[in-house]
Amino acid sequence: MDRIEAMDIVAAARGDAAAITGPGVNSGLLYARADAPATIYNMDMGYATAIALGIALARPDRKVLAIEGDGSFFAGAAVLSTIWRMRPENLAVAVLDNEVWGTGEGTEPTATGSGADIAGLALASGWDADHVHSAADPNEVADRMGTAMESPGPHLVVCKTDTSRDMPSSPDRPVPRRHQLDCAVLMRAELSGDS
Amino acid sequence: MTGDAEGAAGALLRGALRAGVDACVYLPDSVLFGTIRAFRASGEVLMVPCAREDEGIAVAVGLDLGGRNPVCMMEASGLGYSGLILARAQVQRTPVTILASHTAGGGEPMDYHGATRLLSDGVFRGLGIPFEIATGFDGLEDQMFRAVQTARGQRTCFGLLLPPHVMRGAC
Repeated sequence: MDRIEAMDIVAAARGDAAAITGPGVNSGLLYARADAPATIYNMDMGYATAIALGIALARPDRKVLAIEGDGSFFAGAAVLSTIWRMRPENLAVAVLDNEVWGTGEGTEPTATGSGADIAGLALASGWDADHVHSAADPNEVADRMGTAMESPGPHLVVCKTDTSRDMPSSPDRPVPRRHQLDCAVLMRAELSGDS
Repeated sequence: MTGDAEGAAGALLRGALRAGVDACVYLPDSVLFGTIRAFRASGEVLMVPCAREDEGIAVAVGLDLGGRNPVCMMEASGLGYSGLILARAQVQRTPVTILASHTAGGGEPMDYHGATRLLSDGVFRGLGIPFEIATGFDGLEDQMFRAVQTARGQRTCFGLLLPPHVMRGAC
């Protein structure tokens, strides 16, 4: 499974969830597949999941989805302990784990490229195993994303991908066509019912 | 805690509640622990302990987006981790009111707070985030109210820095 296939699955599973995406190409890919007003793209490295946690705590009636690459997620991985401490049932976190940083040439191995295990980190942070999912097969990822979006969470889905269709830094990479400020304004309006 | 220290914590709580604060993201701190306890005991504030201060500010940004009115409490050392997420909060106009202990001003006798006191004012000043330094607990309730009021009204982060002598009732 490559990144494009993985994002196709994650985007299809989104439904009406509020979503926060991490930095890089995942944001452009989600924008092209499942844009919605309640979306903040290109959250700075390490913070997409923490912001999603805050939204989930504020709006327990609304599903919230964080989408991060493994490099960004690992940079803020301490949030795993906070998520499990607070246990918002409406939060799902999808990590697209290709084991390289997606910036520059996209070849520098990340922590998971050196053996780190994000799902294992969640378990070591106290998560129950039935809330932690890791898969590399598209059908299995789709199944786990369905569980994450439809059953009480929090859920963590680690989507292991290869780098065959990764897109190194380039002006040709897909990007969201919405300013960060506008994203926040739309998110707030959507969540408050003022949109 | 001395009676004066309890008074300072109570003043901050009253000011926060007057301003509509309903969530608090925090990391425990030797200066602010009484205030954290007071907020928790109020039963009116969602309390979210976090693992890192920058993570806490990110959680508070999410709480704001979801319609809550959060404050963050931390030792100012945590502001040193938080430059990027504070900058993002400013860019996207998602206000967070921050209560942080220690300042670059007087009343900081401990050498191990040396880096912390340099960070506190410096991070706010560098990012253009408005901040005030409490000088005593007379008027602290109103100062807290105004900090939140300004953060919400202007959609900017706002810092209220609390020297140890203010919070320990040794003014």
